[in-house]
Amino acid sequence: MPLLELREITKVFPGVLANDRVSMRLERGEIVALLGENGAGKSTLMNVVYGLLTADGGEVLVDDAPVKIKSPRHAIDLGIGMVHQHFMLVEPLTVTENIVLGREPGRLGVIDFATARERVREISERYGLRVDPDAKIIDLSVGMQQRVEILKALYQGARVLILDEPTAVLTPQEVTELFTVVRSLVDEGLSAVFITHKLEEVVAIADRILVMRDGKVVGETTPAATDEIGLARMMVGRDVVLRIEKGASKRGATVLEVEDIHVDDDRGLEAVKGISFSVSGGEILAIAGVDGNGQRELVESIVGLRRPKGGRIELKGNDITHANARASIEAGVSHIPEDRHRRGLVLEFDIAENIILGDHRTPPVARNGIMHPKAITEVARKRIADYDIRTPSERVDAENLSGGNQQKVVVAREIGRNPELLVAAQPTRGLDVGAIEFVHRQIIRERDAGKAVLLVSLELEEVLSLADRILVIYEGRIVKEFAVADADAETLGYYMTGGGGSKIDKDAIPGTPETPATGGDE
Amino acid sequence: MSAAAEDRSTNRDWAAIAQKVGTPFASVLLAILIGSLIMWVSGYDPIAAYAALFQGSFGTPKAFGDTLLKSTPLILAGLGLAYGFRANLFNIGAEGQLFMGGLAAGWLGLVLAGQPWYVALPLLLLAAMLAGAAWAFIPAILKARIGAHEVITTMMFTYIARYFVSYLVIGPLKSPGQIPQTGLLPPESQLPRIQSLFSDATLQAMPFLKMGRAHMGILVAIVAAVIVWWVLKYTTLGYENRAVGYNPWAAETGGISVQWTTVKALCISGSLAGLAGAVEVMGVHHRLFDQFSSGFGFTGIAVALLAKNHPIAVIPAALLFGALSAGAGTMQLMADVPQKIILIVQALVIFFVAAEGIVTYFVKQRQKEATSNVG
Amino acid sequence: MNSKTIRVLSVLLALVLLVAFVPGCAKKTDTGTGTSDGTTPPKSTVKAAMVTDVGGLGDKSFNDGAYSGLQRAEKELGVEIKVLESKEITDYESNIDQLATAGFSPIFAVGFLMTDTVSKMATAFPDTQFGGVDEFFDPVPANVVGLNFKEEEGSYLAGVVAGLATKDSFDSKLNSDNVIGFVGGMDIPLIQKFEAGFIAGAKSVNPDVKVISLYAGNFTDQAKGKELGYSLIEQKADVIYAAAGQVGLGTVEACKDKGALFIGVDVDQYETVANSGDVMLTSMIKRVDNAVFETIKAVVDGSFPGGTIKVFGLAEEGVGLAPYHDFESKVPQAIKDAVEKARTDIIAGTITVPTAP
Repeated sequence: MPLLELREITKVFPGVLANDRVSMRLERGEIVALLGENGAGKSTLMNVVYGLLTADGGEVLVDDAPVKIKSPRHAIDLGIGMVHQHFMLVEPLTVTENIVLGREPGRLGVIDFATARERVREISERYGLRVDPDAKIIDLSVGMQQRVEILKALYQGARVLILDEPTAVLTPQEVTELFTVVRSLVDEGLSAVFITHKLEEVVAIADRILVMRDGKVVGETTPAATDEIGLARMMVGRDVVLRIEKGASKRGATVLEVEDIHVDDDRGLEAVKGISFSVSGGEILAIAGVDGNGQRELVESIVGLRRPKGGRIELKGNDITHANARASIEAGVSHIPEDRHRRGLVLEFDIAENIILGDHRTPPVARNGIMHPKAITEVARKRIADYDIRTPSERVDAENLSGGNQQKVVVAREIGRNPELLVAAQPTRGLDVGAIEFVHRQIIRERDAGKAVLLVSLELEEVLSLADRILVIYEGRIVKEFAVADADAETLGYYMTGGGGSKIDKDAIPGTPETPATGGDE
Repeated sequence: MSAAAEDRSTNRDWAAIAQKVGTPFASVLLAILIGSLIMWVSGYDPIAAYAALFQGSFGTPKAFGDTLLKSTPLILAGLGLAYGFRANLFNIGAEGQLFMGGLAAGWLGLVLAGQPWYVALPLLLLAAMLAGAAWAFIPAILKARIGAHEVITTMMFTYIARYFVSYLVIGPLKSPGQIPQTGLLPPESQLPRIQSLFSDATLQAMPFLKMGRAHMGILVAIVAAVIVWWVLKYTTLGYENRAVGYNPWAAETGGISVQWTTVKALCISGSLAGLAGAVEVMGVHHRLFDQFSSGFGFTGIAVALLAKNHPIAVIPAALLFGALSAGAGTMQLMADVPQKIILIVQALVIFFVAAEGIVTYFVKQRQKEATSNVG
Repeated sequence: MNSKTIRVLSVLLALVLLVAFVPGCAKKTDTGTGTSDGTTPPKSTVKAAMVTDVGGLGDKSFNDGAYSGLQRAEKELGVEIKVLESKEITDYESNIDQLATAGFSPIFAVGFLMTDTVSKMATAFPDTQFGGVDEFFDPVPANVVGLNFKEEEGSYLAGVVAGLATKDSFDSKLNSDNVIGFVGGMDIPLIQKFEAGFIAGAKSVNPDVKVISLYAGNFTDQAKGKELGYSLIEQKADVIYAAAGQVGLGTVEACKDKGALFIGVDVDQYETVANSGDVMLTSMIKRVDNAVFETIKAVVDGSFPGGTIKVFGLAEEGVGLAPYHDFESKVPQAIKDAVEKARTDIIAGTITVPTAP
């Protein structure tokens, strides 16, 4: 008897069929992975189950009894708990307070904290979810906060745990820990739905895999019966290359030279504490690290959006330390920003207007301050064709494009400008497999054309698949350098989380004379 | 790109245009309807009232001339506001820049007495633009450098401008006599009335040219609208203005200086407001006094809103407000409806235009939520 | 928000608007023609009209004053009347134009800002008669009469009241220092007439009185008016007369704060300045209504004084003092008698009031 069953769930948003007669079953003690690209309808489906959305058709059965789940509260009463991508915790409160919030033990509005803390401790011990019940949320790491969310669902009596993209915010170590926890929960008789678009996770954790595409279930399988390639094909609907083959790096002259730069963040605290490296033509240098370790400030100082307070940046021998963004573009630096909605695109502009941003002062787009619509259309159409942007016309507003197509517009603009140096900050964030493959190909093509590429990424998989050399950044310093052949996810993760200490340990850098941490090799 | 896809996109373009034009129209219609309701409840005949209103604003060449007369400063002030809004700047102090423009024209016109019109007119208009721009420059610098909000600073500068003009027409610039005002501008510094450009015979043959008080300022305003439209659409200046208005972060990433663009936008906005002041002084009053503007800088806000910040749409939007104002007298005379009713209709138009913005905002939020739920 | 919510909201909105606006304009239904009582007035073919300045009707000042003169003419002389309100300065000309085209004559224009317009329209409509309230024409067109006032005569009476009150102690705000004050808007001849009359009146009944005059430099800065009021009160003034437009409103505040009596100007400011009863001794009023009524009467009688500036003084009931209101019972009969005597003397010509200090 299934614990939870969905029959032909249909959900329509204006203009979008988000779920098209989706059916699934979840047995006791089972982990079902819901795999699909962004926009495939996974979260919509689970929001229906959790009572956040009302289905337009179909039915939900819990313990074989049809139910109309009206609200999250109702879902919780039925034993369905959900951990969202964005945590819904009250930061200044303690772990216990957050867990019991809404279900406080006690009478007449007086909360019995002693009992509450005891029950939290009891649950956390039973499932091996160790958390300090008195710690404030704000002081906890992201992984711990997620643990609190899970505890909260368990405290509320969840038998089914829905995890929406739970690994998106975690370090590799935390991912491993999460998997252990989920596995032990299932061993205790709970069931879990695991929403993700990451193939390797599905293979690692799921008992059964449901693949969704365009609102429909397009396949059901088990990890044993398939592999990542097969899953990717199901998910995208065509063959996908997950790890792009690339030839050996043909290194040219040094393009970017960064020397002992120090950069403050928005609050005036030093975020980059003396970083030096160089990037040569024909190589991809990746900077790996957990978010918030100074990557943003480093990138912004190189592309002219932030003034470094010390150090020196040179592009092909020219000092660009204090160049502004315009001078930086004119010097030959292109920048794929980490947040395409905030920094990458003017969403209200159409594709053509977006695709010339930065080139809008120079011929052929503009002469003497006057823009040439014909030239703009030509440039736009060429870049749309070259970079495979799926759109009926260059006059479609950027906000009406899918995330993948939006990123293609940014990539088309930045690479289409034919820069000396390409700075790509998290270029595939939030993209699905197909779009990731495209962006990766473009970056490698740049390298093979002899350009220098600086890649900043939180995704180890991406770093390992693209980079020729890898620097690990931690608390504003480079703590480790690898040639890609010497790196693996575990080691990288170890250094990313401060395992290497917060100072550069010169001796710890593997002796690879052709790839020193600083300086060129000519 | 297939032909079918092309078709779809043009259809969508048309739908978008229809939506853009439709909502302001609906706002105006709704305002007029509720206005009738109010008249009806108050015991007036709405049909007679609107008939009189139309008669007094478009019914005769002279009435149309009055509508043009009243629309002229509104077009220019509305353009200034719209240009600022396009850079996400709310130049609420256009009235102050308008006063400085009027001052520049009223003063320089006297100084340039004796110069031929082809020297005086361009110089006066240019001086007014510079004065308006200069008056916006300090708030602009404050905004760019220390982030002082332009709504506060331009408003404060409006007070300074008004008191400054008051002081000048009472003191140093006052012409002899009891009334605090400057002397009359020489004819060469006045914008001529449209009908004065034609011979009596021509006017006889084409009576529609007898547009009473309408003056050449309307031409200045229309040319300004076309130029602003062209600048926004076809120059890097306008492109950067719009980019900064929509998304300053992306603009900055694209190498656009947000601060400098802000300064330019406010100064251009101010120069258009200054022009509004100049045409009023040069075309209507022919002299400066401290009440020469009836809050055109503020009505310009409503004009820009109704026009959805489109420079060409500013013209019909200003004509609407001009017509409401021009027809009010006839409405009082023929239908006995107090002039305050017109103020209510104007307020309703503004209200619904603003309300439409609010509703659109919520609908957009809702759509965003919906799409983000499609996981 | 779904479409249903939007619909409900818009209906609510419409209701709110109705409730908010309808009472406001329902009150205005009496604007326009039509007699209010049942008495049948004498018939006349004269059609009199007025154009308000941008203040419009309801300003409790000259616009309303002129309108009540018009209404009186309608009732007593049987003339047809019409008011056009102006919202903008550019309305002046079109409103006058329309009234003249519709055959109205005389047409009254309120406020000096309409001087240019009236001159121009007088040329355009030579057969129409115009009355310019507070307007100064130079020269005066043949079909225009300027309606001006002998503010110095009214101010003289105000001076008499102030000069006697400061010696008296009928109110606790009065002191024994024998000082009174004057606040002027701008130091121009028009305002100096007020000052001169006020001083002459005060000295006539109290030769030792000290009169301190201060000018604000404008007619709008209320803060300045308050400051000047404080300054006068610090210098022991206990009765202050202000001829300074809105500046005077600040002076009223100062009088309320620091305890002094106030004499208003132009209209009965007891009626127009809220919560001023405890300091508002009286006001020097300009009877715009009388000036308008007398002019219409002259038109009806065929004696329109075109081409002249008609100056209305005490004799023509063009200026005067407002009632004492809250001070009616406190003000000693001696003061009231002195005011009455000054009035008759001025009318008789035994007193000539100076127009410059």
